[in-house]
Amino acid sequence: MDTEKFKNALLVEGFCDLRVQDFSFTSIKGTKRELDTVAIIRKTGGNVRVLTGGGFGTFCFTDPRDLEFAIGEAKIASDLIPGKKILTNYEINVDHVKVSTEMDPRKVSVEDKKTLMNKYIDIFMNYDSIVNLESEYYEQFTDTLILNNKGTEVRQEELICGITFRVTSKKGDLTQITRLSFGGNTNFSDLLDQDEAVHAKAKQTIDLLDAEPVVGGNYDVVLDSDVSGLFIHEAFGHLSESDNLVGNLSLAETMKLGETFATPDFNVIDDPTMNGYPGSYSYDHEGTIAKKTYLIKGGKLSGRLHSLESANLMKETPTGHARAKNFGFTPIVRMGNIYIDKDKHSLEDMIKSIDNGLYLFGSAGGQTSGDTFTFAVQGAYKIENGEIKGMVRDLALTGHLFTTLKNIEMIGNEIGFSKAGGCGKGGQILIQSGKGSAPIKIKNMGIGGR
Amino acid sequence: MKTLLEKVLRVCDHAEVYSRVVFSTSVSVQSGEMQGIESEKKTEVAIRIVKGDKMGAAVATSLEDESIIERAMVSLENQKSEAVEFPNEKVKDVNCSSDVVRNMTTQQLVKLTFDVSDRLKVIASDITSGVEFIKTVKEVKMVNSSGFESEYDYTNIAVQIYTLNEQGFYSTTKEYSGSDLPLIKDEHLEKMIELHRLGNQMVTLENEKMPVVFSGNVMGSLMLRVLGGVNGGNVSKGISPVGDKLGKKLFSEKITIRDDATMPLGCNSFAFDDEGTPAQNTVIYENGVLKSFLVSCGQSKKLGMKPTGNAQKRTLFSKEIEDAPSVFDTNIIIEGHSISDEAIIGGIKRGLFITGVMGAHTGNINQGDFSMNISSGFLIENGKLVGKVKGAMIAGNIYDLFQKVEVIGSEKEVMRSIFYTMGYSPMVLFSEANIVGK
Repeated sequence: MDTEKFKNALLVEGFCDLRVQDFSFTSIKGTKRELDTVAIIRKTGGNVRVLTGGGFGTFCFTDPRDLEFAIGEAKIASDLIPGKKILTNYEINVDHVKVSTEMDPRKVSVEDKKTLMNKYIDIFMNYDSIVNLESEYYEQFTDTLILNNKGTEVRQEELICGITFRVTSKKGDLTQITRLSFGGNTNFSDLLDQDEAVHAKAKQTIDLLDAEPVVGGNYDVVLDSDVSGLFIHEAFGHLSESDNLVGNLSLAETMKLGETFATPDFNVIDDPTMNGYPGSYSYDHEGTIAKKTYLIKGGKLSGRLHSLESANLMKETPTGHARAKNFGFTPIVRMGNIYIDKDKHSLEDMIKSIDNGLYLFGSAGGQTSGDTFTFAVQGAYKIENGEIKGMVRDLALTGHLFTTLKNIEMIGNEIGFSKAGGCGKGGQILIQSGKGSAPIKIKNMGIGGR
Repeated sequence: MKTLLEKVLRVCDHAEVYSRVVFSTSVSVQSGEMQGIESEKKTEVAIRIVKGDKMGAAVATSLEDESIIERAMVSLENQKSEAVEFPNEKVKDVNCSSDVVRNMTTQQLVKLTFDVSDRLKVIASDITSGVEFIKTVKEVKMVNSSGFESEYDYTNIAVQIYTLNEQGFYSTTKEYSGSDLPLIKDEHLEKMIELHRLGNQMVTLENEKMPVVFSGNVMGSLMLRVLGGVNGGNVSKGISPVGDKLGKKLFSEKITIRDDATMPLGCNSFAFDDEGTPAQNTVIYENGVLKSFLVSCGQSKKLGMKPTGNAQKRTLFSKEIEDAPSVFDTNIIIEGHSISDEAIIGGIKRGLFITGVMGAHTGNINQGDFSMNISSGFLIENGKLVGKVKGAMIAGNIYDLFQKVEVIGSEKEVMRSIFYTMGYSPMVLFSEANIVGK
């Protein structure tokens, strides 16, 4: 990368930044027993932003010869926006971050990756009732240079690899689907020796065939770490992304800092700086240092996730959460690793406290719109008189964020993180998005069946 | 392109080179203030190579990046996909671009966006709203070693209009998408505002069965599941629930579903698909009878069918270029026994009009299952919308639900399939669906 050439191209006036990136993505995908796709994608491109008028003009390009054209177009766009926005609160960072990891996936041959995948695929497919399996090994490496006309010059490598399975079991007309993931970080060795987890998931997927369909209604529930993580990501995390609040005064009022959202034991944190999770990174894609951010502290709204634009507009500190899927997209505010912090309750105590409820396990995707969220889970155990009983299937949850947060009664004493990232927003699916939680107990949760 | 094809052919028996240049600009206004303007000019290149009975693929962002050949070889040596014969059929012209859109400047786009925003303000000055215009221009070229050489231009204008409730959350939305500028009628904006104001009257439902009307836009969430069944990839892998049901009547005779890539100025019209198969108009369900699957060249051999021109180098969640083409919808068109929208709503004693759902991407999509939160739904009583439904879900399976199609409406809306638009449908009345209430 010719840093000097890029630096010289930046506009002097206003705010102007440039992100150039080499992007590579390796994927090995299979259906049932066959590994039918091996793809090694490589792309290069840049993304320039200019703020000389009332808002950002941005331009993405793939041909380096278009750099000056891109900057010119971005300036024209910014000047077309009525008003004059000025960024005053920004960091100037100069750094070069390289990936270092125990076992670098880029040094493992495609052949060895396939052998590993085939081993797990065989375990799954040797169970008669497993009728379909979608498998994927993914590995994404980016080398990104982030420059701006205030002096920031950050070059950062980012690496993530993992394996995901979508497992379908079938008996008669009934099918059940579960998911299993490994990795979600830089270290290939985390993908090895997972036979036991594969067997357990296969058995669980088959056992769900004998589970009863859930009866829709309101239940007291315990969410395992995976489901709690999805809950906090979907229901609350997205509302903490401050770009939603820009130009939306009513929402900014709804999300006023200091408002009580939950019980005093409830703490939510987003922390990209912890090592080894899908949403771990050093700098965001505007070159701001990633910061551990308390979103809810002692039950009160205490912070939010920012880009430069949202932090400046709201007169708060940039938290380093503006990220883009790749050079083809503008950075928008995204969660890093969001989690509900642990408290004091054991899982046993939470289960014992419920007479008639459900213990939900395994997330299966969700969505949020405003203050309403919905998500699917892989299955649940019935809880009767404080004891775990048989499994139920076909569950989807829905609720109103503010009511549900206030209904959280107990928080577990151990945090677990999901091994798979993945979050869609603004047309960008970001695989580097982590979530976790201690298990939580929520009273009176709406559960829909099928 | 031909240079790259020649270089590629030095290492393999047959090859295909696909390239496109995408220009796009998006402009958004919220509460009368412009948020930002984003543009791109992106080159995307994909090759597929065949050697013996094996096939490989790779992508790049420049025709000069020759690492694409080496990467395609790694793919060929390691993957188990069977070689396909690259087609060389005559391509007919399809009207999928507009000079007005192609030549539109960013200034004009800004003006259009403000115009719609101002019109909404005149209709309802007390309501916060937003408008987004996205203009896309694509130049697509393709050559292969069977002698195919063709190109087409594509333009699109997508418009999203929304209102926000008092807490700042989305209340109502309306969208348009097509090759040309859409006609945004006052009555559309007035209807949005009418629905928005109904948000002040919240109603709760019990767990109940009732007639349900899906708006044209929201039909996309169900069509995603219909397509899972007729996707040639799922059929050939044996995971489609209708893989052995061609010729059977599976849906109500009141509905016909086509996939029409030749539709003039449609949101996803093109001259040929991403492996060079000419655009077609495929009837999938005719009066409820399953007539055809949607198949790519690779699947056509296995299934003994002709390719339908649905192979696209994208995924469900991304339109960035992918190595291998998968089967996707072009313009899905829903037709059938049609009456006016007013007559549909007016004829319902107690039912639900759904204009927004969440969770369309969850559950066993290919099997037709759905369990979605109704993010925007209105209770109908004695032919009138009486309030907005709070916290309800709708769950079931499309192979049950589509047997209950009573009638379809008259005004077509663009359908949404999670991130992208997928064709056009009017509102559809199902005689009964399961609603999970409070």
